Amino acid sequence: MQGGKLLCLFRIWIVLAAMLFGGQAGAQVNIDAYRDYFLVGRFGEVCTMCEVTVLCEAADALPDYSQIPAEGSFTVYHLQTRTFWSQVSTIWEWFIANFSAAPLAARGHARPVYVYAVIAGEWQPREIVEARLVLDPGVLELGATEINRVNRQWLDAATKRPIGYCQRLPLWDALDAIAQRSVEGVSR
Amino acid sequence: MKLAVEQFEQVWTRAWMIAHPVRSFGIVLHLLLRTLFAIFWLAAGINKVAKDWLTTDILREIFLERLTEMPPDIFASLFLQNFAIPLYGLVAWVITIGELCAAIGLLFGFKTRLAAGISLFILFGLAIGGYYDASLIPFFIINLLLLWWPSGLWLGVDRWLAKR
Repeated sequence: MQGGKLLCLFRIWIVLAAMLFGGQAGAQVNIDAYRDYFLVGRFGEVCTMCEVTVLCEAADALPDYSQIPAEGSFTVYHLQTRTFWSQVSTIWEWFIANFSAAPLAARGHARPVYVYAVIAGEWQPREIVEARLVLDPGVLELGATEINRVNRQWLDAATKRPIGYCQRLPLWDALDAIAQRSVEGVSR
Repeated sequence: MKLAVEQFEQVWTRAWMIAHPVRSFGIVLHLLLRTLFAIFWLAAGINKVAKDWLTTDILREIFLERLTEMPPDIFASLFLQNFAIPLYGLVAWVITIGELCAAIGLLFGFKTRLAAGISLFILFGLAIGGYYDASLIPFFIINLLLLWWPSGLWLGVDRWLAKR
């Protein structure tokens, strides 16, 4: 019965740990600090199974389109759901967030993004990049470019030189427009 | 029944462990997973109480936001519109109390299979309510293991209850 007694002690320890852990359960990622960040919703970061469409254009002011414009030059980013293993890893992230949200906010998470460059109304072949959504510092890394999540500025990733500004698009209308206007062919 | 309970007690004797090393390892692993799963539900339940799920309409807000992220014609969307959103108060209570009951049952091995059943019910609710992703798969697997084996008789209040 020695093994049983040992295991009982272990379980008492686990219960105590659970109570402590439970006390920390309210200390999830402090979304208040990032609530105004680009793409951060009332309930936090873009969810695992959520898709997002973002339009960026070379301009001096924030764009404000209700749908993807028919003319002009801009880039549309279609952020996909997290990959299978990235979704599974959210279990671990959830556990970590109960102790400290800081490492997760700094590490962020990755997900695939379809990039559609539109030049003078002409849609270019789709490009697929891996995006990283980071909260600390607030940045969306999109391959050759990135978006400052505080002021929505569109930047060259290498030089950090401003290119323009970005906005979130209504998802379903944007996906319809992408389906209608994008051209065949993928460049990676 | 008492004979069966004594057999379950035997799994903690040195002689049984030496004779059945693989099964012993499996039992310890099973109990570890049960405990971790219980901690997960405990933290989730406490979190919901702390975030006022039971006293505010926050769950309704969560559902409404989720609705904007899903295609309107899928089952989860219809489920939210016709069931979960109108009955958000009831849903909040069922989820929160269910998570806490599952946590207590699994932690202490008290009505363990019933606790696992409650846990499975909540997981199904999450999945059909549009909160499905690959992270649910390990949870479903662990849940089925908890339903399959009588872990409360290995260690827990269930063994004490069975003795009476």
